[in-house]
Amino acid sequence: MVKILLVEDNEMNRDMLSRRLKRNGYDVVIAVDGREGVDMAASELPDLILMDMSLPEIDGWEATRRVKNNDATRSIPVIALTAHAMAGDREKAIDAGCEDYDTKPVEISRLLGKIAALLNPGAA
Amino acid sequence: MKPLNIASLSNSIGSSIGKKIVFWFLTINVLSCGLLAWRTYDISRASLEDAVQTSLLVVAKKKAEQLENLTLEKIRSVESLMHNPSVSEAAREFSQAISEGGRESDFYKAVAEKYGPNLSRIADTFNYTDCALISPSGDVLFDQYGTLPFSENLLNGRLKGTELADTVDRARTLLQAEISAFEIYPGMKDPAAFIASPILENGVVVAVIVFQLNNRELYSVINDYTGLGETGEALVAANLNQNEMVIVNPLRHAAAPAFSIRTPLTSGAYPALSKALGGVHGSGLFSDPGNRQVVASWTYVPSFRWGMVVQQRVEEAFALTKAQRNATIWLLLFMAPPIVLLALAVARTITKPIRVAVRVAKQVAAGDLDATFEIKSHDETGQLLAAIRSMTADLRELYGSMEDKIRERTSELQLANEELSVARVAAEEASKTKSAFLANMSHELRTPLNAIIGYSEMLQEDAQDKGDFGPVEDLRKIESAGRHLLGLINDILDLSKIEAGKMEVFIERVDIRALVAEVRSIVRPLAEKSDNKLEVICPKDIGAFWSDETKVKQCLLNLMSNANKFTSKGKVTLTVERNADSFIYFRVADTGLGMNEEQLGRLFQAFTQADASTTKRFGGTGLGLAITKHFCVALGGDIAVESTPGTGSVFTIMIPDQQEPFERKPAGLTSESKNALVLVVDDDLVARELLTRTLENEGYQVITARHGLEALALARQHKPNAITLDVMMPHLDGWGVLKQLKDDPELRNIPVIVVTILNERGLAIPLGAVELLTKPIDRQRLTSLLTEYCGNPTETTVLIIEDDSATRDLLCRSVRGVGYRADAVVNGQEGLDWLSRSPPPNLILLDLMMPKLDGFGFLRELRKHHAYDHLPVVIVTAKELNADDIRDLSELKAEIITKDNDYLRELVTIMQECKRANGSDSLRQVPRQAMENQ
Repeated sequence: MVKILLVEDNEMNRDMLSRRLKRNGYDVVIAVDGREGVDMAASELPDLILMDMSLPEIDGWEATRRVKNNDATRSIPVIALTAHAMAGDREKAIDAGCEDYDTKPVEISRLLGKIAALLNPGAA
Repeated sequence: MKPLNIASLSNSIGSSIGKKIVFWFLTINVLSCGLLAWRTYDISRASLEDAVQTSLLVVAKKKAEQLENLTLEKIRSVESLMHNPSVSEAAREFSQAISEGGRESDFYKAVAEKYGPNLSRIADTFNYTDCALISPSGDVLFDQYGTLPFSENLLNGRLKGTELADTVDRARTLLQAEISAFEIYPGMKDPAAFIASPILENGVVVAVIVFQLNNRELYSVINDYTGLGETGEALVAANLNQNEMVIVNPLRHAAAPAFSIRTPLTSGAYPALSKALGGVHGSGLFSDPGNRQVVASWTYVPSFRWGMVVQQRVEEAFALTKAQRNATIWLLLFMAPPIVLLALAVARTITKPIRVAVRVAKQVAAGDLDATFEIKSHDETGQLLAAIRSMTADLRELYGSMEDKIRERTSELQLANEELSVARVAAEEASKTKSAFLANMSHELRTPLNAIIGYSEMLQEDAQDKGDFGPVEDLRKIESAGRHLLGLINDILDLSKIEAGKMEVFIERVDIRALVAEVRSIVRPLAEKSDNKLEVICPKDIGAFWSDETKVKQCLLNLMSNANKFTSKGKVTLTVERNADSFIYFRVADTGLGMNEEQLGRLFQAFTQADASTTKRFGGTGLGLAITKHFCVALGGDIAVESTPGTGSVFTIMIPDQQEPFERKPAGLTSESKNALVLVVDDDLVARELLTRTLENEGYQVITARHGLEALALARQHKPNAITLDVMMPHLDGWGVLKQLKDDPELRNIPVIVVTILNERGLAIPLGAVELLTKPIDRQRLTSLLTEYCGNPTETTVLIIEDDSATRDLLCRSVRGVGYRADAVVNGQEGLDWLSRSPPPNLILLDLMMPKLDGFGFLRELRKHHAYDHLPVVIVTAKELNADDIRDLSELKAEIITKDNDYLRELVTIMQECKRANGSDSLRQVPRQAMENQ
């Protein structure tokens, strides 16, 4: 089963998104802040990471950079979840090494499309 | 008077006026004194010479007269003896004694003793040196000193033919006293002259008495040097024969005795003597045989048939002249220093106040208004100083009050600046706080909203999965309300950012067809809900452009959802096209309610909808269009709307392709076009389009810039003939643009017309704008202004550069005759000046040989400017062109018409043909045809 690491500090968002991802057939592991996200990326070695940008401890951009700086986790695609219309967040996310981004509130069908595209690049 | 010091005087004069005064003063004085002295000397020399010559002549004549008187006196004295009985008795007895006993007889001795003393006494009485009695037949009867040869008969013997014999003969024949010439006789050492008189008794000549003149008496007259100085002397000469003369008297300065100097009459050794012997008198300058200059006077002495010359050496005779000359020179030398001093003093007197004036003027010019000086005179210079003093005082007062005012104003400004800066800091703080607050609040608001929307979606999915459709409808309402609230929050946040100037633009490559497809898929449910037909027209090859995709998408979604919101059972059409000026046009047309003018006016204002009731009917925040407009402007584009109430509305957004925006070719500008180019600068699309249309209708080419930086870039690239400049613009406002234009030597001459809402003429004109027009623009005023500064765009202008006025007029008439506008200047430099203040002409007719800057120089300068690179130039010249000239002109892209008899007709023909061929259009073909007609 495809394993997705969801890094999200807001409990409701975390619960809602993880349940909807599970409903769509993904195995979801949770991290509640940036530091835990980086650690779990290394320990769980998920197939994909959904990374909120505004996180406690270390923020999403820094966490992404750390993931991408680790040889073990470098190849894991990261989708940044950014706040709406906060211009600059997206660019910063791409700069930090994210493969793609999506804006919150999450449009589940659009997000699923992006996840599928990253996991099966040949099929897109 | 204090003593004058020349050095200090010279220093104090210093200025060039002073030097001029000294120079002219000295020149005039020295010239006049010198002339006067020379003239005086000359006159006195001439009169002195005259006087010397006259006095010498007087001396000569006096001597001659003395000699004549002497002779006359002697003759009279001798004639008184003619009838003396004692002499006749003596003669008879001497004659008897000789005939009876001879000269050795006692009888003769007795007679001699009886008469001899008497005769001697007579001789002594008349100062004769000798006395003799001669018989009428020539025998010597008695001789006082025995100097005569008694054995000889005067008329037959050795003395026959001598002057003595001739004189005796004349005396006994003519019965009167006769005087002989002065000569040396045979057997005599000294020269002698004799006087003879017959002795008569009863009318018969019984004897002739002869006296020898005393030589000393003659010489004392001749050699009397009274009044002749050291070198003066008299020369007396007698004709020796026809060719020779002999100097009779012993000379003063020569050792030669009398009769020792013989010389031919024509030898020239004694020219004055030759003249005197010629019987005339006169005076003159000669060289004596010792080659010394003498002044001489000459006259003739008739009794002795002598020529007499009285002469004196020039150096003595004219010694006074020399003395006078020296005196004159000394006088001049003596006068020179006082004259120089006087000149310096005069110069100083005149220049001193002027120098004071100059010093003060310099001080004032250097900003020192406290310069002081005293005024000593009341003449013109004094008045000048007084005027400067009062002017300086005025200036001082003016500056003083000005400085006060400036200080006052500066402090006011400083105060205002400080207040402003405080206010700005506060405003910036407030703005930052506001932005931070908005960002936080939106995050805080959206996080729960996300949960609401997310959970309601999940519940719907769960319910559907379980087949429990009851709550689905309610859950959908919750989700919908949540999404609406999210939209409102997002709109407010966007607008806040826009107003806080925080809107950021992220330029990326946008695939237009993909964008349109996404918009279509998002909007399709809305269209279906309103029962509208949705149509998208987009060329397949439209490709991509560079812009901010998110914002473009949001704009399109806004317009499309609005269209569907206000249209039902109609049609919504999205048309996409790429314009020639690299703008992408998205046009959204609907067949809905439409709007009237009043509604259109309020359309793009925030929180406003076309009608207050609309909100109730259709919902929405009323922020959509305001945000859309802001987004378009931020992307360098704009939005426009056309609407008819009841028929529908057309919204058009124009977004520029931001790929290398400054390198794209501006609309309508091609290298072949020739009409005056106007750069329209305005951030408002509508204003820009309006101006562009107006100007293009008038025949101008138009390029547009959306903000100040682009305006400067386009101005530098295209060097337009004029610029219309908006003031309130992003990036760099109009004032900034104007200032930079005027600071750039390349752009400084482009006339700028400021076009703005406020009448800020007082700011625009000093900054260098030619005129300020307030919006809305008076088109006629704009057109007439542009005509004034750029010329009529449809008129063809020919610039004639020719120094010869006749040719110039001829060319002007020819050009005007063909219907073109002719402007003429007289040399290359003026040609360049003309170009710098006028739009490029269509053709230049150029002479080669001109003053200041000739045709070659003009062409080289012309071609240095990119803008004039292809400006056609025809050389009209009478110059014989050599191969180098032709090569140079060809390199400078100029064609040649030679000024022969027919060149004018040729030129006119070319221009006429050209005009027929191209209407009143370009003259670009002229050069080629000119060449073919050569």
